[in-house]
Amino acid sequence: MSCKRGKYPKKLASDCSPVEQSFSLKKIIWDAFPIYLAYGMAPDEYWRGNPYLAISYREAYKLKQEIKNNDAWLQGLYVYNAFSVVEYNLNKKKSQKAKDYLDKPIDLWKKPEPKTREEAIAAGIAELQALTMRWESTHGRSN
Amino acid sequence: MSEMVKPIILKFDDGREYTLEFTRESAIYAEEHGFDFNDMSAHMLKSVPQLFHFAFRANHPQLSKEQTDKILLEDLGGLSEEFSARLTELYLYPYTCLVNEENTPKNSHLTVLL
Repeated sequence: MSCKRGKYPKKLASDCSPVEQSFSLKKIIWDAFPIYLAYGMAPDEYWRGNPYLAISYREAYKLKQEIKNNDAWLQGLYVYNAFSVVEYNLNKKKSQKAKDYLDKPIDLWKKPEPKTREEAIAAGIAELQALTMRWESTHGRSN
Repeated sequence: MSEMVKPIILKFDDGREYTLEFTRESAIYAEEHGFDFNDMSAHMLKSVPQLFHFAFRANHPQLSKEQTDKILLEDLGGLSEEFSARLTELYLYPYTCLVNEENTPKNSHLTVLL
C-alpha cells in the first residue's frame, strides 16, 4: 500500500520500514487496512467505528468464502451428473433406455426419510449413550 | 471469537457523562502525539494521564488535556491500578480485533505490565 496523506491518520515513509524494533499500533493498523477494505469494510467504519466490527467483517468474509466453496462443489456435482448421463447415453446398448439429465434442481433442504419406530428408538439410545460418554469424559463418572 | 470490550462510562453527580474508548483513529492519534506503549510500565506517571486524555478523543474530542487532567485528579482522585488496566485494554482493543486469534499465538509479542 502506498503511503498517502488524507482524512485518516497519516502513514509516513518511516512507518513502512520492515524493521520494527518496538510495538507500534500504527504500523499494524495501517498494514491491516487494505485487508479489511477487501473484506468490504468502509474506511470510516475501520478508523472510527467500533473496533469489534473488524471481527464481524472477518467472520462474514469467512462465511461468504464457505458459501462460494459450497456453490462451486454443487456446480461440480451438476457437471459430473451431466457428463455421466451423456456418457451413459453414448455407450448404452440399443435395448437400454436413455437416461435424462435431472428434471429439477437438487433439493438442498430435503428432510431425511422418516425412520421406523425401532430405528428411531435405537438412534435415540445411541445418542444418549454418546452424550453420557461425553459428559463422563469432561466431568468424571458420576455414582 | 474474542469478547467485546465495553467502553468505560464516567457519570458524575453534576450530570456530566463521558464515554471512554479507543477507535483505530484515536489509538494512532495517541501514538502520534507522544503516547508510547513501550514506555508505559517505565513512565506510569506520565503515560497514564496521557492515555486517559486520549481515551476521550473518540467521543469527546473537544476536551483539552487540562480538562481531562482535572477530571482525573479532582473528580476521580487519580487512577487505580484496575482502571489503568482497563484503559490499556481499551487502547489495545482496536489492535486485538485485527489479530486473527486462530493463527496467532496468544500475546506472542506483547506483555502488559501494570
